[in-house]
Amino acid sequence: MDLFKRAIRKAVVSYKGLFGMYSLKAYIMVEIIGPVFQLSFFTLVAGYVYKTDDLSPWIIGNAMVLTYMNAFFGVGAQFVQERFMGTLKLLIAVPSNSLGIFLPRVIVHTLDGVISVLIGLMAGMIFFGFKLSIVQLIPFLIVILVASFSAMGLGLLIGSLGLLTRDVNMLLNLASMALLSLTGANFEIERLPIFLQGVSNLLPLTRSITLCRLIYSGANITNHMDLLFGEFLIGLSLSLAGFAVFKTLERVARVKGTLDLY
Amino acid sequence: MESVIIVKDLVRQYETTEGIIKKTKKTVNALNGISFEVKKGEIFGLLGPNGAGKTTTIKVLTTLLSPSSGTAKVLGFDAFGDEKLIRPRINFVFGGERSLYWRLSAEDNLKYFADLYLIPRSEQNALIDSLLKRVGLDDVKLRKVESYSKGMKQRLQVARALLNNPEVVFLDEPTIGLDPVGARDLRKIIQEIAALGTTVLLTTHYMQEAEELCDRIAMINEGKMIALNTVDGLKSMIDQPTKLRVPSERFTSAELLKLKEHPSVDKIIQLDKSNFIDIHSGEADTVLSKIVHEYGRDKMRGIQILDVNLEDVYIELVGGSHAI
Amino acid sequence: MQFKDILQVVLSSCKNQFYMSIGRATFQFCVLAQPIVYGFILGMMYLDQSNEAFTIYVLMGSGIVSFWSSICFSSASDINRERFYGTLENIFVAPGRFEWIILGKVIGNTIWGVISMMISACFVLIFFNKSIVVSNIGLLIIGLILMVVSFVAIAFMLAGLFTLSRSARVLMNCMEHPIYILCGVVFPVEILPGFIQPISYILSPTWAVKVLRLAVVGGPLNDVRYYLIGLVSVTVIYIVISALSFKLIDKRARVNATLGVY
Repeated sequence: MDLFKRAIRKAVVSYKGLFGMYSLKAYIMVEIIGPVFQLSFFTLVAGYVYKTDDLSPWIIGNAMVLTYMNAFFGVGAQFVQERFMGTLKLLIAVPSNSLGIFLPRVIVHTLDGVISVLIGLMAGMIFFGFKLSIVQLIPFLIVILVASFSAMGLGLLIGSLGLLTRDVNMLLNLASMALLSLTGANFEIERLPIFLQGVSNLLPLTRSITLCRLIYSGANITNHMDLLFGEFLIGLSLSLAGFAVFKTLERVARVKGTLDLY
Repeated sequence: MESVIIVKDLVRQYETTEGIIKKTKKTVNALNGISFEVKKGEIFGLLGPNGAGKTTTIKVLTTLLSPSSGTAKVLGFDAFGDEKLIRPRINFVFGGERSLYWRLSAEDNLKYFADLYLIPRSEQNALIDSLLKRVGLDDVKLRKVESYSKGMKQRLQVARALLNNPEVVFLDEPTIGLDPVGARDLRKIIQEIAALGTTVLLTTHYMQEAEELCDRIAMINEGKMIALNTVDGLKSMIDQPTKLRVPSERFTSAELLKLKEHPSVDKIIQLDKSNFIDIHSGEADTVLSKIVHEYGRDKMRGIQILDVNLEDVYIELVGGSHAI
Repeated sequence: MQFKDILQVVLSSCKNQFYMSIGRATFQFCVLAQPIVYGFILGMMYLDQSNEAFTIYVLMGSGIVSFWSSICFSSASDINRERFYGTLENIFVAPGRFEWIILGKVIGNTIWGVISMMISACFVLIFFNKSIVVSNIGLLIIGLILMVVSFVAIAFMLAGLFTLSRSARVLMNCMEHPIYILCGVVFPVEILPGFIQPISYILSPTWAVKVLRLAVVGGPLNDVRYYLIGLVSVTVIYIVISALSFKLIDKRARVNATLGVY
């Protein structure tokens, strides 16, 4: 029990430590207003281009993509932030098992990611007439949770690479853009050149977006478990890869002395 | 001799909030009405513990902060109101490693600030070269500042502060974090600046530095002025010019109380969080003889006979000790 | 201050900013990668639309998006960065005057903005095999120049306003998409709800986009005149507000002590 309580406290305190600089106003701006505007931007373009009143495919797609905020700029950037605050070296040096330090944070950011998606969907409800029935809510939540976890895995992988470089932000931004452009959020994957379609299938969120759109148009989640399972598998692979990279680079970073270069 | 800096009843308050959702406003008094004047060509020191108000005072005088009330005049002009007349004629260095563009070289940093200080381009190269030479950085001038040691960054900051040949230079803890050699080099530069007629106002924690550099010193604590005098004048606030510094475990309380009754002993002070006791006396040799006579030669081990210095004045005024 | 002094300060600050900005990963992303990504996404969405729509909303639209994201993101966060470097106080009291230094910074970033606009345009032209339509080259060039000036005016104004506030960077996170939406950069302003449209017209880019639109599809001279006058008028108003802001900043920043603390 103590381990569990400690994990919760570690998660909450680290979250506060890195993001507590945000006042409530700032939090609303970054976590709510910014993402809502991004979603609205693409949804409005879609509405104009496809001349339709049913904007649900784009609302779903863009809402799902919002999980990148926490996947990348939460988990992924945590190493950058820690180095910036000067606390990265302390974290590496503490007796606590590093998995025990970072896992609670990953969990917190996964849940935060779910909230981001829900905020996006609510914006869709308020501004664009998106309607989710009660029956669809549970399957949606399941898919969103798996999607958030999956995006987190990519964030962890990229963030781990941050141990070696000074500028991991470029990678994080590119990954965010990849999610925006290659997961079918705004246009059908079939429009992509073949090789990019392959990339699309390996990215987090692609299957989740397809699945949510299917659920929305009346399909049963149990008939498409391959999509859900595929998404989970991607997330798991990325997370494990991320953690492996982290452990390796932790050692290499100590040798090269780049842990605290800023 | 005219005063180039006049501070009268200066008050500066900050508002800060506590709490996340329900915020309560709190007013912090950084300065509680201080007054002093600095003469032209002087090296004037501001001493005080952390949070005393030294940096706030400097920020008001360098036109970075407005006073909440009171007067702050530099070169005859109001620091808040006439700042445009003051800024070209002063400069400042805030201690620490900031205030430089790390990704630029020393030379590029100085070129940039030279432009901002409206130094004509035709004069810049010669000026920058001479300044870099003066602070001992001319052979590393093309290296990026991020690769510099602390001492080098500090010296570069001083070079930057001299670009516009200021009449008044403000230095906030200039030698903080420097090793003894680096600190000594910087102090030498400060003395050279003052020798050329520039007025220097500096803040510091280091008593020895203040004693070495300053013509006059003001001591501040909790936003109030507690002393203002020359170094010798401050030292004379301590009655006796010498003291015996004794390791605390050498004497029992009873022994100390007995020593205190001796006519040559002025007072006995235990420094807080320290292993020493200071026995202030004008006749240190008499006291020492008394100790040897009373307790034997072994008791003498580890005893130092010292001149009273600024640290004693500081501790006496600011606290950090208690009398036995 | 004499004109030559102002020029010296602005040019020096511009040069300093130009080199410092591109050294940062996030900025590299905004200038080099984001134009391509947004060009790609918008191009894919508008793939089946007319050549005129493609020219206006993809070629120019993504160019303007890239341009604004380069400078808006930087103007306020650059002030914050000066705070972090510890140099904000130094440039604040330099005789070169704070507002000219900031203008230099904005112009420095603007040059990168123009480069990013060109990158976007080149990408769209090469990747998508669509024909580009331009009726009036002269008007296009004038429109582009005025658009750049109008954006510089907003960025300058925002830089001033955000110098006072420590939450500058956070607010900046929400300045990208609202501008694209409200100014009709990638779809016509007319599809927005009626009550929002007046807001669009107090933003100078809206007028610039209208001028550019006319340069593509052609239109009556009166319309051209109307939009040009609107653009110039709004830009002048921004310049006036900027001048007043910076006068206010000098006092307020010192009363509120917002210069030094990061």
